[in-house]
Amino acid sequence: MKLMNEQLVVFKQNLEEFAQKYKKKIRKSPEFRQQFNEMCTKVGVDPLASNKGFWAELLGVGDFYYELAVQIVEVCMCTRATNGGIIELGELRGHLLRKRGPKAQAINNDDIDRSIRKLHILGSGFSLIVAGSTKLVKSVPCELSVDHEAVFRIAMEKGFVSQDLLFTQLAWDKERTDSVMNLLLQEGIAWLDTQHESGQPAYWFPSIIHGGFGDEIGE
Amino acid sequence: MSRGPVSSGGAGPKLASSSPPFEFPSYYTRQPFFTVQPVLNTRKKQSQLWGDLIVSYCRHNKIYELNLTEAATSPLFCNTTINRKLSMDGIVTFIDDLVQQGNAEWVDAREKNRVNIFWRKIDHWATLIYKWVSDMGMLGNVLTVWEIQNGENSQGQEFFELDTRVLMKALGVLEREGKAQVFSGTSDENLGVKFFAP
Repeated sequence: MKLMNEQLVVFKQNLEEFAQKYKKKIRKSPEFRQQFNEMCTKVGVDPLASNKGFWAELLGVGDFYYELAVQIVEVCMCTRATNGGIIELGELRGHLLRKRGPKAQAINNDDIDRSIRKLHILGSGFSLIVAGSTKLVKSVPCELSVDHEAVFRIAMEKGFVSQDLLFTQLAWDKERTDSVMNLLLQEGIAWLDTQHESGQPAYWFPSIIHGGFGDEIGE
Repeated sequence: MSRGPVSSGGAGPKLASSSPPFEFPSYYTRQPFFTVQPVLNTRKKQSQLWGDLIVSYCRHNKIYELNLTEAATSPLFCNTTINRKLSMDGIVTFIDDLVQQGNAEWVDAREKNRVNIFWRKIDHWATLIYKWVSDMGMLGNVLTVWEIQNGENSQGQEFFELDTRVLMKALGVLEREGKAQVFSGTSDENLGVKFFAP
């Protein structure tokens, strides 16, 4: 145990030296930063722990994530009226990039993921939902069930859902579909389409439609 | 952004044929946009988007009066690319919202088929015109409606060639505010308007 502790201490020192040496690269490159963050996690060091302290001061990393978190909150608030408080990660990133402008430090999905996890820990009502190959950022407190998450997965793939689709993919009957979709409609997460080619009501999700749905964020 | 064709006749008198085609916003290509949303909050957002679209479409094409029966089959309310159109009920609903906002006025409040679209609110025209008169040092003078609309001094002004009906409404606002007086004449264009200092 003592040996392990010693090794850990040495490792942490090495990490600090590494951070010092590669400060610029950590700030500039999202990929490098991601790897660095993963290394830190393994060693039990959290560069985002606070705005004060060695890491934050050394790297300004705390500020970076704090600033990003504030921007994430702004984007989510501005798009809430159209997407009901659910936005796909790539869509969120697009808004953030436009908002931050070309001269800002580059960010990748991992950076956004970390900021949101921080927001979640702070109890701000933010959480991540895995939907197929991507993630959805939920910024509203409404409770979503595994049924809703299943709907998101299908919507990500097909662009929309309908009774037939949910029956084919999940064996849901009309009652279950209606119950699940009603909540999503009520929350403004889904929009209704009564002119779908299938002849059935279809449900679309502004949260996962790329290119927006009429959101002006003063980008 | 997807480009859409300019409305062909039918929906209004003037058409700016020399200007580039109207650029439809992204939400115009979203299927549910054409279904009146059953959930109130969502419908409010939808109404705002439709209002914006109707006003900017009319502004681009210099349409002052929309005939809803004709417009219902025009690109404004009918997107053939995605095979969706806004129902007449929906059209009337969202135009009613525009009326509430002051951006439109029913010509026939009972039938609700013809509506004036104010891509600038009447108050805004009134303010612009008054400021222009004042800036020219013409307060206390009489100008003809024609001069305001088409005179040398109005070229380059936003209200240059403004539709007469809209112009008259704007002058009406100034009259009510005690900033102008319109003199009767044989036709609208001949009318004289005297502007007063505040």
